[in-house]
Amino acid sequence: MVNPHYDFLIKLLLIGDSGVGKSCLLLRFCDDAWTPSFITTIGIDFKIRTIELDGKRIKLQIWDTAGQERFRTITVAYYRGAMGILLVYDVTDERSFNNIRTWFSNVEQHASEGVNKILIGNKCDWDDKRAVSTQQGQELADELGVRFLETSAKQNINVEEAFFSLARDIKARLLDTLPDQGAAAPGQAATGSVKVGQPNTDQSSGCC
Amino acid sequence: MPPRSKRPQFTQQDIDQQLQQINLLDSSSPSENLEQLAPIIKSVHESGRQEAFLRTLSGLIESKEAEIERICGDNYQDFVSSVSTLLTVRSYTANLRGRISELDLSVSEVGNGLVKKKKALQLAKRTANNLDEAIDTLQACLRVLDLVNRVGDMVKNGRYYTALRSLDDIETLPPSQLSQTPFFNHLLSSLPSLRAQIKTAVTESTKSWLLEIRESSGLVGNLALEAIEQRSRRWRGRREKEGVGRSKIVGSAAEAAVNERIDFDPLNNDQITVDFKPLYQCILIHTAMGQLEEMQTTYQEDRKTQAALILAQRLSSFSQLTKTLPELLNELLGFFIVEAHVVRTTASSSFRSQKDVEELFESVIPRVCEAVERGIRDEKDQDILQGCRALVGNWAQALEGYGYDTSQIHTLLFKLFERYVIIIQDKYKQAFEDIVMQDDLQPMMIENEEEIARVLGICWLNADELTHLSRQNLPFSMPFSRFFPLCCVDFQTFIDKFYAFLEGGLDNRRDVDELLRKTLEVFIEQAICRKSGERLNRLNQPSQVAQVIVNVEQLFNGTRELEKQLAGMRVRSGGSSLRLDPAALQGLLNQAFDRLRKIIRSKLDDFFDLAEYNWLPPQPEKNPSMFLYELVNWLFTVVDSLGASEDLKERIYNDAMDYLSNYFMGFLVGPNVKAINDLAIANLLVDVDFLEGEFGKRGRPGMELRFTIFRTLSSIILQNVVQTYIQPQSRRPPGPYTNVQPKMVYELLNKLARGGSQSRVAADRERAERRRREAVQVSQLFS
Repeated sequence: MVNPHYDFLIKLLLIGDSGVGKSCLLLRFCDDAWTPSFITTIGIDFKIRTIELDGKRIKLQIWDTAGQERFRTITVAYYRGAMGILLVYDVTDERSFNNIRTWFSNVEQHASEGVNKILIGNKCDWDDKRAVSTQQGQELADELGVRFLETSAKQNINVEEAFFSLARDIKARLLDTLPDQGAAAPGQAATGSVKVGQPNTDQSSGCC
Repeated sequence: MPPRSKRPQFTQQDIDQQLQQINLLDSSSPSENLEQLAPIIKSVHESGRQEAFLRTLSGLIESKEAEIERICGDNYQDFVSSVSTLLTVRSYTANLRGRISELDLSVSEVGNGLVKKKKALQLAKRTANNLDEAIDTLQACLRVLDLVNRVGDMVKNGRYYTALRSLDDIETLPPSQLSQTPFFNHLLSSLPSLRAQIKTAVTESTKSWLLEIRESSGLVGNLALEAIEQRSRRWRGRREKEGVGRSKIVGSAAEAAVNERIDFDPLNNDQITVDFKPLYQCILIHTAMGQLEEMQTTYQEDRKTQAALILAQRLSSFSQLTKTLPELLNELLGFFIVEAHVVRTTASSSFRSQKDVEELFESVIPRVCEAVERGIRDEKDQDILQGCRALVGNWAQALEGYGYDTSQIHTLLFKLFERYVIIIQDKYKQAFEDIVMQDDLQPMMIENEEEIARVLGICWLNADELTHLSRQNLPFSMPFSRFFPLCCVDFQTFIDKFYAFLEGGLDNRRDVDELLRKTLEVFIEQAICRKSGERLNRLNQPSQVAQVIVNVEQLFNGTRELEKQLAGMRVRSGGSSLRLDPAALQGLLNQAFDRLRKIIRSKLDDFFDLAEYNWLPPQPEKNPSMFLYELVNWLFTVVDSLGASEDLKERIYNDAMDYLSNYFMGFLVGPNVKAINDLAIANLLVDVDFLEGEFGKRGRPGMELRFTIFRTLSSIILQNVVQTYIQPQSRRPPGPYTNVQPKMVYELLNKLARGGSQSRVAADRERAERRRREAVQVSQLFS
């Protein structure tokens, strides 16, 4: 029996240095909320939001990873199951921008092949503290061959756009290439999509 | 002159005799012996018997003449000569007679003069006597008058007692001729008015003394209070220097022993000397006059009036109370110091009884207390309250020093204290709320030695925790967030303020302990717990909720440390131990755990939302469901990285296991899944195997127990043994299906029947029909 609430399930992953605003982006996107206090993500968290794209109800399961080094081994395990990855840096923190290359190479190493990616420069509202220009961001995105957006979780700038554009890319890549599947048997399509992202090869579970 | 009876009476015989004796014609004597006649004549004259004498004399003459005639008859010659002699005698006699009468006359003349003189003399003598007497009396009077006069002077000079004594002297003068005089009586009758004058004078002087006392009372009180303040300062200094118990106050035995050397008399010092002489004098006078009672009454009334006057003057405006209070207290203190002094110094005359003064004291104090209470009722300035408390506290101590019962004042002090506590309580409550609301809910990072020393110095930690935390390698994170040290600091400063206010009294009272306990509980319950509760409801991160739990547990243990610390303080001061009600913190812990459980369950719900089970699969699945991998990974990542105790983690895992197993049971017998087939059940068993394996492998055993019913129920279906199940013995111990309710089997059979009936395969539909029948059979077991 198929869950009747949505047509497709898409799994996204947020990565980037600690403190760049991954959890805030997620909170803004899923709960339309914002908190000034800094809450370190412990290990891994996720939120769910169902959106509509081209008349399809798409359930987004968005994994939020801890940016801190000590959680790296835990978070890496989630790369494989992700269909789309948001690489987030903080436009006021050059180091977080410079670390994007490292994050990108992690993605290359651990994520499924062909995973959709987007580069996000967060905190774009904070002009007087800006350390990374839009151009720099765009240049890096071009170099890595990914989309680029500057966002502000605080001011709710481009947050919807970021997630929607990524979701749209994924939908185009995975679902729209399978003609009739989605419309005819959504449950099958969804299951199929899950299987694509199944991370069980990296897991230490003995039963697989 | 009348004959005196006592004078000799010459009788006839006497005269005769005497005449016989006169030997007129003494032959032996040539001359007439007339000398002898004189006394006779004198005596005759004196006796006034001249006639008799003359008669006798005539008789004698006749007899003599006869004798002479006879003789002459015989002796004529002789007779003639005798006659001539006789004639001579006769002439002499006549002569003599004349002379006698002359003499008599002259004698009589002389005697009369003499009598007159004598009479004058007697009169003069009597006058002289009277004069003497008059002089004496006057002199006596003068003395008395002098005394009286001196009394007047004494009164003028204020020597009332001597004056009174003098009056008594006058009254008790020995009886003299003066005693009966109207003058003296008049004088005596004027004594009472003199006494009255003295009384008036002393009363006047007492009144003016009373006035002086009234005017100096303020200064006396002020000096006494200053002395107490100085003592406090000295004692504080000494205490801090020598580390004597903080609870020992001024007036305590320890303090008194140390203070012995310095004794300050507010009635007699370099600034003021109160002279009680006028009062003593008045008492003496009234005692002497036996009117002490009257004076006592007057004095008592006067003092009462004075006390009332002080109150009326200083309590006229309550709004200004904090300004007029020092004067009021000074004056009243001075007033009662004077009273105490009077009681003490007039004890011998029992002029002022302790009881009277106490009554007066007890009538005045409530009004002061009431006024102060009213004055502070809405006071919001803690400095004013502190000043007020210090003043009233010193006042009470000063009064105690004079033996007054200050329990009412202590009640007032306590009310002041309560007011103060209410004010600071509000501030601290706000502070605690801020701590809760602003906490970052992240373990506190310790970067260097200074920080660790500071944090460990202010936190209530037990010895083990202290040792453990101080041995960590830097940098490290504390188990608690900033919440805990901040709470400790605020609690500590509050407690310090609390006791600082008590400086100088009260801190042995049970009420104080009770108030401290209540206030601390207010902070815990109404600030910390309430605000934490509010915040908890908005927290969605398990790590944050877990941090709340850690913090609250830490605070909970901390309050035990605090209790020990306070108990230690109380042991020194003789108080009871203080026990904070742990219910609020425990309630908060439960609430936090519920919140944590709810967050995790809601995440588990999210996972199951993504489960995408196919309840009517065409073929069996070898691998467990994808979402379960993620679920188990997420659960262990999140719960293991919580900075919580192992015990808490255990509880969370247990709850998660319950929740998970219920989900699986719900698939089989719950309302959400309407139709199912055998392959789906088999697939669920793959997931169950996976969960049991994962939890066991990760050190959280117990999953198998939760799936026992699930497995038995599944086996009844998959092994096709419903008929066996229907047998009663298999459902009774020790039968194999004792834990499976018929209702469960019934629900599952119905789902299977529905699932099979949709199949295009005839065998499936047949089996579905059989299951429908079996369901009916099973339904009879519980209907």
